[in-house]
Amino acid sequence: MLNKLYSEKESIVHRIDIKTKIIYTFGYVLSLMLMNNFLTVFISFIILVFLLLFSKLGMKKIFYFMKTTFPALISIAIMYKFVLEKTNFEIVRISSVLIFSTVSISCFVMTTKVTEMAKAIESMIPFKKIIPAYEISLMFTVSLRFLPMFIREYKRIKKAKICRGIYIEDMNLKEKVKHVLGYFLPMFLLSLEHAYNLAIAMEVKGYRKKERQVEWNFEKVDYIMFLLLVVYLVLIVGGRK
Amino acid sequence: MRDAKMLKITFCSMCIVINIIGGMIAHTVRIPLLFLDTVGTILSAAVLGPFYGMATGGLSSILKALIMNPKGMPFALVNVAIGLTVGIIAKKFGFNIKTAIISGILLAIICPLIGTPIAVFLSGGFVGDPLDIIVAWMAKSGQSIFVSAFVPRIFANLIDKTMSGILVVTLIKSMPAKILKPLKA
Repeated sequence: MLNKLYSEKESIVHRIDIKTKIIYTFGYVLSLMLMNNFLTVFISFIILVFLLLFSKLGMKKIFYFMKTTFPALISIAIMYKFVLEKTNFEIVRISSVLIFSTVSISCFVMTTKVTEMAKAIESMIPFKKIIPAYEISLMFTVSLRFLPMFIREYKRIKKAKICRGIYIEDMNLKEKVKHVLGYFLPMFLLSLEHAYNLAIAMEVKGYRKKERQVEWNFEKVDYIMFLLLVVYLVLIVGGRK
Repeated sequence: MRDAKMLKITFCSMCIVINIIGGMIAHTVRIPLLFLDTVGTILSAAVLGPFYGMATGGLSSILKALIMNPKGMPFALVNVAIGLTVGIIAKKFGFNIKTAIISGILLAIICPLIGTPIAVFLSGGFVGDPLDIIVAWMAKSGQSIFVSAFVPRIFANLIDKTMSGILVVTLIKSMPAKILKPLKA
């Protein structure tokens, strides 16, 4: 379930260091704010197309993510055109920001293993003497380990309620509010039990913080990506009116 | 238990899981303006303080974006702010029904303050839900797009965060002493 969004492929984007990917995606999404004419929208689009080509991700996968943005896109188009009476460029610009940002973040998600993320979080946190990066990364890893189990448990509780004739969808608002706790409490008590048992187990086994040096090992492809980002930023700033 | 730090870390991990499951519960229950995806953040911040609250909030958004909805990643900042606010309130005044309601009201202002600029930047303030009608109506009546997107979100957050806060108070009351004591120490 956890790797459902990850797309196992042999591509350049898959080979890029996760830290480079984070910086690149962040820089690209922020740069979308600079679009103020059709040329800059086109430049951003071209860069995105290159990214998708290099990542070898199928259009089917991309559309899977785009589904979540369709309601917002329709809303933007209707409201901007008929209610707020904005220009066609404004509609194109804001729709492009939404589509480009979603696709670029999706591309990052689909080419990054969830388990790699914990390492990246640890290495990217600054001021390690003040912020306990190792603990934060450990939290992420533990939650990853337990999430599928809790989702299964939640589905079981939901089915158990249906077996007892509790159809929450058909209830009125007051009854629904009453039943929220009925879903939360078993999950919460289960999570407490697991948190306690895991903490005891780790203590018994003498689990301690590992002193390790997390290095930024960039390869040739990472430097190319940084160069591409810089060239893109220069183009988009130069293309502004 | 000698080392409470390990329990704090595992507890925060479970709070991250609760955040994601909370969102799924809200999807099943379908109560208007109730999202329940910050219950874990409020819980860890109320029990452990601002740092753990912020970490839980930030990591929940990242995890959720990685496995469910990548579009939500930029909103991690909102979750971090929730952890910080509730953590500070809980540390200074404790966390009971009264402070839960007060923090709910505060969060109803703080969350849209951070979330609205992100939403305006990414999708022009429209997110494709019924609140968009109010946003468009306010924008048409002469308000700026920021104000138009900000005001309806205050009401949505007021209901969600207050309910989540009250739920957390109930959950904390049901916590066994053997776990709550080392966590609070």
